[in-house]
Amino acid sequence: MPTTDSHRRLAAVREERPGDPVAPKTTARRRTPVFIVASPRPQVGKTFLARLLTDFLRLDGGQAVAFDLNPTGDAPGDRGLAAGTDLTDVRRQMALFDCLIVEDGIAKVIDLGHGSFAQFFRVVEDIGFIARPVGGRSSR
Amino acid sequence: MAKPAVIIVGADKGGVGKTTVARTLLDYFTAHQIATRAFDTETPRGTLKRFHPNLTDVVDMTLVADQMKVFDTLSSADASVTLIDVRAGLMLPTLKALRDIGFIEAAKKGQITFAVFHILGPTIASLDEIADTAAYLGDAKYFMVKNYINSTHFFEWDEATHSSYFKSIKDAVEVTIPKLNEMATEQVELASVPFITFIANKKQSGEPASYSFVLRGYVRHWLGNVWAEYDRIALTELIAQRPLTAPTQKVQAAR
Repeated sequence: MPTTDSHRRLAAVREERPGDPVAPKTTARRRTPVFIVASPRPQVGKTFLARLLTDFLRLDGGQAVAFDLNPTGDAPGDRGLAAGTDLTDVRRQMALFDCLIVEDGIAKVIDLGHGSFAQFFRVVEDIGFIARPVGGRSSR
Repeated sequence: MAKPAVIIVGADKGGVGKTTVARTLLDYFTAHQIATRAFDTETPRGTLKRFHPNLTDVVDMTLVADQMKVFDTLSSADASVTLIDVRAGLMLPTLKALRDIGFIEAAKKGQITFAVFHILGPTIASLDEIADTAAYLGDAKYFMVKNYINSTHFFEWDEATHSSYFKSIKDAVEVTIPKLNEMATEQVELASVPFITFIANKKQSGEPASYSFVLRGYVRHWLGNVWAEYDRIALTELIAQRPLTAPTQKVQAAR
């Protein structure tokens, strides 16, 4: 939350939204739902739920992409972030979050392993993933 | 109407982040809608001008003609704030020149707001700069800036030593610039745009850019912290100060 006049001015800066590189320019942008399946505890069924959710979103020709943020990378993510899920690496953060914000109408499902839980939400806070006014909207 | 304000950003060492701090100040004033002009003393090609081409002129402060260009226009310029990014090694010569032309005296009389942002390096040598600088400050507002943007460790800053220098300047205020991660720093450098333009995902021309969402987020978060420091030191209030009126003038005005 903004705490000073300067923070408010900074929060009001509108960001140009990255376009969908696939869609033609004339196509209206579609909102992209992002689902985060998370728990700070292991073995509670996160990956199971993420699989169910991804399958559900893909019913009847729907599109969904899953991101695997489990330490062992054993979830069925079709965009698993390779070996390990060290989100302290800015390149890995970019690989994940820069994909999540693209308005391509394809649902994104994140299977957030318990080992990445704290770091993930730290990054979310630091980059203002929830609060940033991208393209004039104040939340997603 | 506020009196003209001159802000000098300098250090005697190179590579301590003078231009970075100058850029954050220009962004800050722009966001607060305070008309500002900047002078980059890194001749012939200034780094500050690369980021803020519309606000910045490159000048050689050792030339009288350029000194006139800066200081003879303080009252006539549209901008109420004049920011000078003094290149490495020119901090003391610039302050000496300001004393010689009577600028320091004018600031003492309250005709001009004068502030110095002295960017400190990590070694004890930079503390010696403070002592040298103090002799030329007059009543300037003096900000000692510890710049951590490039992970500088101020490991040599023994508290007792630090305090002895710190106290040598009246009303010195410490400002801390936090670290920005290397990749974000590098990408803003490559983009050659103001931090605020990078955050807005725009090119220098105003066209949409495709900077990383993550890196823009980090820059926004970092700039917010830097600006919080400027809010803490009440920078906008300092800039908005009105000129002091001489006692005789007050009497005349009352009649």
